[in-house]
Amino acid sequence: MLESFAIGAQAILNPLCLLNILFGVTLGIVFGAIPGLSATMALALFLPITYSMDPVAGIVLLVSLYIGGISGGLISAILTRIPGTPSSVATCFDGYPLTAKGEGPKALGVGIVFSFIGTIMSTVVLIFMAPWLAKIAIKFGAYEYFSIAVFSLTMMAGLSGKSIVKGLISGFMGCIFATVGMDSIGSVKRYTFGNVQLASGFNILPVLVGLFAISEILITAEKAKHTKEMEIVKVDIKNIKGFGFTWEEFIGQKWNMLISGLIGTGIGILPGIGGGIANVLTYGVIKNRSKYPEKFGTGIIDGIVASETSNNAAIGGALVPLLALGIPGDTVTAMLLGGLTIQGISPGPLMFTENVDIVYAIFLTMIIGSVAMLLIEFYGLRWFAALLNIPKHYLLPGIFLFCVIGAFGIGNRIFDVWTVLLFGALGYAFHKMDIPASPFILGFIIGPLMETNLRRGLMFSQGDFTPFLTEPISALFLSAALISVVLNALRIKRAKVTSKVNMDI
Amino acid sequence: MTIYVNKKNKNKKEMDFDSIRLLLFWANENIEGRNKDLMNGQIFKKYKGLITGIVIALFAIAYLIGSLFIKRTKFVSIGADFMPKIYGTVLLLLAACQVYQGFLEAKQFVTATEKNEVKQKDTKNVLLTFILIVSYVALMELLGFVVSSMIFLFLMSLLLTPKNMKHNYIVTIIFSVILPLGAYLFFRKIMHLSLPIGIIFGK
Repeated sequence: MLESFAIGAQAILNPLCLLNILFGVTLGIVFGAIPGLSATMALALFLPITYSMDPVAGIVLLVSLYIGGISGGLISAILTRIPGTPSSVATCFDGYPLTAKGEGPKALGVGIVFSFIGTIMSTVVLIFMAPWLAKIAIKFGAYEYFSIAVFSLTMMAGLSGKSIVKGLISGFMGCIFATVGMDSIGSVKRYTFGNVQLASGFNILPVLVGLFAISEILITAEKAKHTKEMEIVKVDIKNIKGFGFTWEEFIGQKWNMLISGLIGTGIGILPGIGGGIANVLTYGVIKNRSKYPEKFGTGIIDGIVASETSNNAAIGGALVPLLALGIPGDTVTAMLLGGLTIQGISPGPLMFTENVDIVYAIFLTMIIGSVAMLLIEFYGLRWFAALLNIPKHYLLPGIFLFCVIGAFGIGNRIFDVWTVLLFGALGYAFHKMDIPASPFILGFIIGPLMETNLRRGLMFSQGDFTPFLTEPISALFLSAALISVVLNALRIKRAKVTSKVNMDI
Repeated sequence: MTIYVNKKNKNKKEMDFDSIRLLLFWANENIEGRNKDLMNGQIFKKYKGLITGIVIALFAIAYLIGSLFIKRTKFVSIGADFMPKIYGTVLLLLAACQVYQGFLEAKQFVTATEKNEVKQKDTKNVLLTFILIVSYVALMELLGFVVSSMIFLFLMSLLLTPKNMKHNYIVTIIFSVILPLGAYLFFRKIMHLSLPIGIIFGK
């Protein structure tokens, strides 16, 4: 292991990579902090830039953007009560009340420090778990991969929205759009309508940019004429000692921190869900086990600790299935997968023998990046807060410009830019119909994986489906998929009943 | 048992009435056209789940029909049309669930009070934005990246400016000139990424 770390260190300890870490973390924080921009978008916009870099430098940049992007959301959550990204929704609950009490610096300090701790905790888990999982996964065949794909899809579909049907619709729509182009086994053209450009299918980048960035612009346009200016509380950190909170307060949070970190990492590891769900869920858990649950929401640091530790812990967790199995844990890791594939590296168990430098470069980037995040985010708070003032009517058109550059850059063809628009329209339609967009992305990536392995498996067994059910690991994942659908359906039903009861009262 | 059946029948009747009401409403609306925006919002909200289900179902059917035209090869036992057929069928089933849920939702729908309902959504602005984006991409093939971006940025930021904010044209012009030029220089010269030059300026 030490040897592997040495290889990783050799790969990233050069000016370009270190600069990329600083640049990535800073820009990630900016994207995280500004509501409407997210870590996913940051990666989508910078993916094209990594084409021309060498693989290690490119991946280092993307991972740094990820770390900064997830943490940056806390700035706007605490200062304006608008979460910068879905990952910091629960940070608003206690962060803003603290700011309202005049303890803004403390809230920010706690958020930043525990973001850092969350990242480090999950990195440790990642470093030990990923190689171990890869060792098991190397024996996986078509049956196992198919079942894992099904499991990931149902997990994501079930947890990403209020309706499991809509989540599944979104996921399967993703699979469907991924079937456009030549099929992976027989190279038969499907749904190309005679169009040459469609033969290679839709590229993941324009699909993602369209679904997330363009639909965001359209949603803003919907409300643009009536938006009021955001009120940003001014926070002065000049006279603050340390990070704004005392050592006793820190020690008081040790159990919250540990539990939040573990839940966050665990949720990250589960394929299909990430920080967006981790923070809200952990907030609930920490509130329930607290001795003073009634104080939550009034501005206590416990709430911020829960939310910020867990959302950053999900980063390391999400990287476990990505690196060990080649299955992305959430939309951001889906982008990372894209970034690796472009460089000719296919994530999965083989990475641990063939691309040791990249794997350990990612581990080291997580550590260096989180230290950079801690320092940059805290000492640059004033500037990040000032960025929240950038008017949306300049910001979004500007972002769109970069979307176009990125989309065009993939293959030097306008076709990809049109793809962005197509999926932008689709994303807006999804928004109108309350269909969550993230299962779509996962379906889009996992669909082909599912298809290839199912067909390969069926060919292997000569059309017999039973091996999928009798192979132990495959059976385990398929039943887990079934259980997750049933449990989620029950959960949603129960939630509906309670909300009805509440309404009656 | 009989009660159960009766209840079920009653529900069904109500559903039927609902769909008739929807049709009647549309007819009525076209004749009178009063309170159009507000009522449109209401009716869309009420039948949102249902409309969603129907749209998805239509898509699934079209996709399934499309799967019939996929060429079959003999050398692969499980053909390329295998998966699309599964996806299409599953999506159709899901759409059916959604239609059913939509019915239930529409039946339970409580007409919101008017004050809550006027939620300042600007469909016209969305449409204009989308048209602008489409014409931008179309123009790019003709005018190239830099020129078309300048026009686009200027118009787009005008479109997105909130009503209560005074627009500063000078800032907008500077913004829409500098950004495309800067982006062009950065990506073209430093990152070596190619950008559309356009037919007019090309060669």
